[in-house]
Amino acid sequence: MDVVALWISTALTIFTVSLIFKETPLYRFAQHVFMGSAMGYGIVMAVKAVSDIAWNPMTKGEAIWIIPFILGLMFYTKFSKKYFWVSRYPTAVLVSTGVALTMRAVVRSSFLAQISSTFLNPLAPPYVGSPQLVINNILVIVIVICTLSYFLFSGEKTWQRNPVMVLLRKAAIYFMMFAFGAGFASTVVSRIALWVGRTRYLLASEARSITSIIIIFTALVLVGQGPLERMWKRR
Amino acid sequence: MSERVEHYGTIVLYLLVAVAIAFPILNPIGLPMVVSEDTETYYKLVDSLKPGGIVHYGIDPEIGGFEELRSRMIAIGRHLFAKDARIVFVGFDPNAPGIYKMLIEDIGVPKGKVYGVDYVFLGYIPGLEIGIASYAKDIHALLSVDYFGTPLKDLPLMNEVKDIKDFSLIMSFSSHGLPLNYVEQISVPYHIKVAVCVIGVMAPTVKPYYPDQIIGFLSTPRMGAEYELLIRKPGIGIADFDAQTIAHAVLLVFIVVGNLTELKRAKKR
Repeated sequence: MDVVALWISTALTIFTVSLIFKETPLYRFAQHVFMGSAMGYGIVMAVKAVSDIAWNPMTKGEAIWIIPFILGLMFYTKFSKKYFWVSRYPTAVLVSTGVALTMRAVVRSSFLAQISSTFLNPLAPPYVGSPQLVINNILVIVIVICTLSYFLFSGEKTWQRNPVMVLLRKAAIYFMMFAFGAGFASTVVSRIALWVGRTRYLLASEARSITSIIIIFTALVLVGQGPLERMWKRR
Repeated sequence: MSERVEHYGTIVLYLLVAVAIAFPILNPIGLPMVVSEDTETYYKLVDSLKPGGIVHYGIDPEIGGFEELRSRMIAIGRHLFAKDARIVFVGFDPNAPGIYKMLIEDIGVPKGKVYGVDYVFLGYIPGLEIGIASYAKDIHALLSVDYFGTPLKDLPLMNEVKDIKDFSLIMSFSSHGLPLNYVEQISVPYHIKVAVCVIGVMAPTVKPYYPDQIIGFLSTPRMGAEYELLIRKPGIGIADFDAQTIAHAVLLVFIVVGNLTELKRAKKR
């Protein structure tokens, strides 16, 4: 079974990478396999979760689970034109519960706590001993003020054209560019890490011969695809 | 013509990066590495656990993000077992069961560690934020069995855990915004800080919460290599380190060359 899994995963990786050269039937096959298996996996996990968390306890006498079950079933009325309205009730329950749970914490976690973490006195202990921390704290304060000022849209024309505001906004553009650059670099790091992982897998001693065979097969398909397609069109 | 150059240029770039990655994997170079402050802080966090401490190990990445987190997840898992911590593996992402199977094989459960006593896997809990909130409040009210169908009351470890306050340390390994849900549903209501490992893409989103609301933060695959160095158990992190460094250098060269070419073109126009 492990050998079969090795063949399948090696083949699907190389088929997917073949898109770099051009779209082939192998790539499309890998894409469809991925879509199908991801859907299948998702459904199995969802059914298992419902079964373990709600269905089994309900059948053993925990009647409270019947409420989420009924609410869940009500979602399926979306497929009926006549009873479509029923699905609004479970949606309302879901949205209101979600919003309430978020609201109880988000003000504290993303607003109040973040403000107090941002505006730290750079010259107070324990920062004063470390020049790096002092500079970091000053930078955070300056950058937050500049960036926020960039998003102040209202106000009199004279206020908007105030030299201080203009300077803050100009600085904000550069600071945001730094942030976008860092974000993009992080994305590159992530993608390379993914690539390194797959390469390590393909070059592992037990997979090397399989990798070679599948690369040759994929190359043959890539080379042969064009002439075959032209032949097919002539017919 | 220019389209053709662009097409083949892209292929050349891909092939060069592929070679830059494959070569050091086949012939490790052993580039020097410096342990960063964040990795050391995280290491100390795990190292300070008392034997028998119970740890929530959140397997929360999507399968696409797992590869980047893998070295960190393995190294930290090994460190936890070495410290005789007891681990509750659980996931708020549907990929958790598949990842758990690979992860536990990679970590290699030490001899003498018994499922149910030293570690358990509770499976996937749906509902994201709602799931985390319910789990934090009362695990036994939310779940009656583990992933394998064993009743929680038959697992000695789970008899010692009722809610989130019974954990000595809470960790989440994620490739999306779940750590922020941990902050909202665990850190704020229960005043318990969480330790987080994320993929690089998520670092700018999660980093602002560190160190005030997040107690430990590892954000790049390089930190997996650093962690392996700290626990003195070289693994895939150190093996991948050379490949990542060289691939990044190749990309850096291409970015510089590409920008200079574009500048030249713009001047001509």
